[in-house]
Amino acid sequence: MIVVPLSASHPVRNFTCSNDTMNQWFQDTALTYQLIGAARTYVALDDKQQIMGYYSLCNAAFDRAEAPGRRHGLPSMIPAILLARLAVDQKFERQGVGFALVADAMLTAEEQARHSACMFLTVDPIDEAARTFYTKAGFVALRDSNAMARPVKVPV
Amino acid sequence: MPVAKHAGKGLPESREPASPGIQNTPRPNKDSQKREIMKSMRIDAYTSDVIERAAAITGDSFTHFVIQAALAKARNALIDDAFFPITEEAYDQLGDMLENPPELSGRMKAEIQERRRARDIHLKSGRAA
Repeated sequence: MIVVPLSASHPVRNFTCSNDTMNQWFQDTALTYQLIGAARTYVALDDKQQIMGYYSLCNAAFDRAEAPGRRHGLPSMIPAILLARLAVDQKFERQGVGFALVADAMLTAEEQARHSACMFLTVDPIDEAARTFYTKAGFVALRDSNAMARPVKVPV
Repeated sequence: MPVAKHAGKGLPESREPASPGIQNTPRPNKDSQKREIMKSMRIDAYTSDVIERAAAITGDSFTHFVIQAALAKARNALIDDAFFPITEEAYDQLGDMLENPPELSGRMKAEIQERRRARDIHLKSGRAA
């Protein structure tokens, strides 16, 4: 399996996961967003260049809404990367593709932290199954929030 | 009339199919999940009939059907909302997390190692090509 940035050469029309919204966005919008920089999408390809799954990243921020100011030596607006979408094609379910994609997203976030502020990788799980999946992948649920996060290793 | 599966139980919870997919949804706390909200809306007879028939076919109550459809659409609209207002407690939690990063499972460590290796190979072959 290789994971590469989405490009016009990838057969997005053949992609089918169990969630229609994820299919529709991937087929209709992902490439446009890729070209204008509104989201970065990465695809996992097998050795026949079939799309096994994808994930998309965008910049995000945690905002300490109640009391602006610093604590823990942290800014009140904490820079993060949102793992906005992640889906696995039905043909490749139950093969660990989802975990491989999350692992790749963690490396991408680490790479990003080299170039611009990025302290956390965050997700906003769609349902309980997704929440269980991200817990297994190492994300921690935030209090009073649907979001989950884990720190990004900052390269030295 | 369709069977009112969720009648009287307030806002039903999401019943979407299991998927590793994610979306940036509004972030309910425990209270708002339980809160019962009454909203009245005006629907023309034709629209109401269509929804009622569709709800009956799927075995849903009218209310549940409408709420689930609206929720899906709302989530879709919010999918790129990457701004997370957090409470003081969550802010503290993030601070703690930086000091003591949560341990990854052996499986995830192995996945990361494998991805790192695959990236290096890909980069090298890209340069060679």
